Amino acid sequence: MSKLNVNDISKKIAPILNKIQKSKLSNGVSGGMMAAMPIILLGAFSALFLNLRIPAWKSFIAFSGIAHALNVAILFSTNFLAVAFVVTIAGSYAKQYKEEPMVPSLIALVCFFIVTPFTINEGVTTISMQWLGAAGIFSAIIIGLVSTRIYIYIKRKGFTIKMPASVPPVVANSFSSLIPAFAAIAVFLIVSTVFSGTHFETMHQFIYTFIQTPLQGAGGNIVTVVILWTFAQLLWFCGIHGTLVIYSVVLPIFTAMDTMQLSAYASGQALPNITGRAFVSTYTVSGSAIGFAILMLFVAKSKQYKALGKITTIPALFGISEPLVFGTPLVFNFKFFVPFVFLNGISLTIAYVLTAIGIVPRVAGISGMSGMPIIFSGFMEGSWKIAALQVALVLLSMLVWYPFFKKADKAAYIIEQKAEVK
Amino acid sequence: MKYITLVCAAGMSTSMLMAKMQTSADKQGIEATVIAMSESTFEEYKEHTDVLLLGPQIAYLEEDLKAQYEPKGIKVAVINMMDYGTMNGEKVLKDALAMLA
Repeated sequence: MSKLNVNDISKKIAPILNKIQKSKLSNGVSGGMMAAMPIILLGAFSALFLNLRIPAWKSFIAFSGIAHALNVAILFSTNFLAVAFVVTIAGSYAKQYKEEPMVPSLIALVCFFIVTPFTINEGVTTISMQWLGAAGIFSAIIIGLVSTRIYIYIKRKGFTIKMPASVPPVVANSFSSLIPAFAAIAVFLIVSTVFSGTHFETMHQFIYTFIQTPLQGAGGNIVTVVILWTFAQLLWFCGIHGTLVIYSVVLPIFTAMDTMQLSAYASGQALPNITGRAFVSTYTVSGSAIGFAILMLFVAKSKQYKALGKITTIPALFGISEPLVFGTPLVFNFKFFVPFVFLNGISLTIAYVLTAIGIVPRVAGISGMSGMPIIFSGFMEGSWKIAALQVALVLLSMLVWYPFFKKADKAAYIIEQKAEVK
Repeated sequence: MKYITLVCAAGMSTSMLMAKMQTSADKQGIEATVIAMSESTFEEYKEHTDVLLLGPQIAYLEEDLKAQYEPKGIKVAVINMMDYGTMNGEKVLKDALAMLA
């Protein structure tokens, strides 16, 4: 009977989900951010190693020059992320249109720097790195998408220089991308000139003030985050990968927040955010259902739930919740609706309050490595206290899941006993 | 040789199922190759596939993918939710091969 429900509701929501899933913009942005993962991780691990709180390690890396090397790595990864993103997002977006990504990526990169301020001092031209890191991320996303769209539009309209058939394709291709490329660049030259006349001075500042900052405010608002992560669980209840759906909307802003966080962490400054992708991934491991898996494994009386405990616990510890969600199943299983849907929100609220009042430190902002087990991920975010809170939240989830689990287990056990008697 | 491809959102959970299916096939002496990838990767996949199986969390893509791939002779189906959740490689393999019978 569950299967029937899944199909019915899936079919109704399918068109909307398809639109989100297939959206070229959404895929372009998230695909681009995924593609930049090596750079993101370089920065994250460099910050991690730089800040290990072991005095012997700290003096070793300072004296051996490793600390300097790590700082350089961070300078051109975390603090260079806007540049990386403009390249990867432009390329990823172009691929959505089945276009070769290299030229659009290059154009987007140039457009980004065209709207970036520079100074000339005694013949030396200098660019501040102010807009190349976290603060420039939204600008980078917009430039990556807009410049690519212009390029593709002009190219498809046929405003190209057509070479005679005898010219080799490689040459003909590079000529055909000339006018579309110039069109995109021209647009941003105009943008750059227009903004330099305003008090914003640059497009980056404008985007940062009007788009990035308010969105970061929303992303930092625990109420918004709780609503989103509860809605994600509701989608999971309907058999849909809720986390993926929410991330397709939230990823850009959370990435910007985490980048800023990591940059501050690396340079030893005060951490600006409480929430962000790292915060959410750290405190909602496996939809806050690890406690359920543990209960099934150790406390279940019925064969059914004991068996489920065996196959769901280890994956759940690593953040893989599909066995739990589809094997129990939790999908359309009203027995477990309350804990499954609401525990994420509860965990996040508790974590937020504890972090806000200072009992638990803020997370470092290291994320993107799916499959990192719980407790390890807590330590990676900079403190044993974070790992300890993760454990405390699992214990809490065991408490909350218990009554629902007990009822279902008892019922299953009775049915099994009756069957055996027969 | 039968080629079975599993797709899901990111490719992680299906890769566990894939390993179990391949083991089951090898044990039974069935000539089948089972691989897993994300749905977006499959769009660019050039090798041969006989059966395309979807993880239940992307079941809403079934109609779309059926329309796209069945004309090419690829059988498309959503993996049964309980089999997927319990990682029942043997059963999913059996159902997949039945589609080709």
